[in-house]
Amino acid sequence: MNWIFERKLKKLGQEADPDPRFVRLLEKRLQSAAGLPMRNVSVWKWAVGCMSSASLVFSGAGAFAYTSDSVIPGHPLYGLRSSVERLEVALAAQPSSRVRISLKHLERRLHEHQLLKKQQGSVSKTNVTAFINQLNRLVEESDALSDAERNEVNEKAVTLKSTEESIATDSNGILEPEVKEKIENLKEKIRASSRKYDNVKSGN
Amino acid sequence: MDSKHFTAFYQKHVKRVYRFLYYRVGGKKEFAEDMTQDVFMKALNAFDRYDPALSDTSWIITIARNHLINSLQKERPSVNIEEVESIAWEKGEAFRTMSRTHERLRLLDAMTHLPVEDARLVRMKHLEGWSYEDLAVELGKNAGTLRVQAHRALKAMKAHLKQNPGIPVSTIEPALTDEPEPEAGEAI
Repeated sequence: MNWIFERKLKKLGQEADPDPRFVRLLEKRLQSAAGLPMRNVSVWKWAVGCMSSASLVFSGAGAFAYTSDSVIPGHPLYGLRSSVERLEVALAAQPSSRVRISLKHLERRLHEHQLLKKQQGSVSKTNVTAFINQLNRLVEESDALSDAERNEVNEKAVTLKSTEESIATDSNGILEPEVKEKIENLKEKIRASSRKYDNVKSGN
Repeated sequence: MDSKHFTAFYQKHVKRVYRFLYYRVGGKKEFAEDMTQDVFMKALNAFDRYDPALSDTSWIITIARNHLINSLQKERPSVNIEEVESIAWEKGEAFRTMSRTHERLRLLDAMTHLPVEDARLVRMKHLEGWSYEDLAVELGKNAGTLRVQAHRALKAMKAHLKQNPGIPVSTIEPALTDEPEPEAGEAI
């Protein structure tokens, strides 16, 4: 096994390494002699190293949390998925891209709720309420968009709302009163937003 | 090259230069540190004339070698750098300040039993930390050839260690133990 042997030689060679204090001191002297501003490159190296290690550790888990179907509410990595999504929204520069990303997230939530219903038979009121609230915010945010974009968002919001409503309805066709009220409010909000678009279209 | 790049250049080569000097000044740390400082000061002054197309390792090692020769010539005008290197290695002076474990002594002993060229290659590659590409430039050989040569040299060292499992009785031993050699006629 040559590599063991090589390693022993390398360790022997490292005995002849300079004292780190001497290396730092000489670097400062040389920078001073060259008239260069003092930069602590080793600190930068350390910081970049730490960041790279952290991204290496988290990128695998983050990618899994973000893409896997097995990460649904209640999964240990679900919080990581939420964080990545929040970051994604925060990094969106334009309102239109922010709305588009939020729509994508809501579609994903809906898919999660479908999986939850399949696996557990129902989706908790908290999850449904959170979904409706998020959809509400999206409709509000779409006010900042162009009429055509807003109309597109409204159409998607209606589809999402209907699907969520059917998921939230239990086997006896009953919907929780609180959820029902929220859905009604949302319907009204979407209608109001759509009316604005219709008025613009008809020139009133 | 711009002096702004000198810090990166220094960080890349400081260990290599220090090791190069350390082994050639008989393992004297203070001496190696002083010389490393002088070498980098010279390199800084000449940095604007350095051509990045050339091997940076060869450039800085050439400065270090010339500085070493000039320093040694002050003490001995007819000094020969090859001679200084081989004496330092063969007498084990290069390892004066290293911790002398049994295993290390055996490794160094095995190295002294290699042909001169092979021993030099193993030293430069494994103790001084040269890359094969830099060695190719320095020794004027192909990197692949040097790789094969180093591999064979290591095999030879391993074979030597296998045949001599006991405590080494070698030429480096007296220098490492710091005991004066008995003079001719002296009772042992």
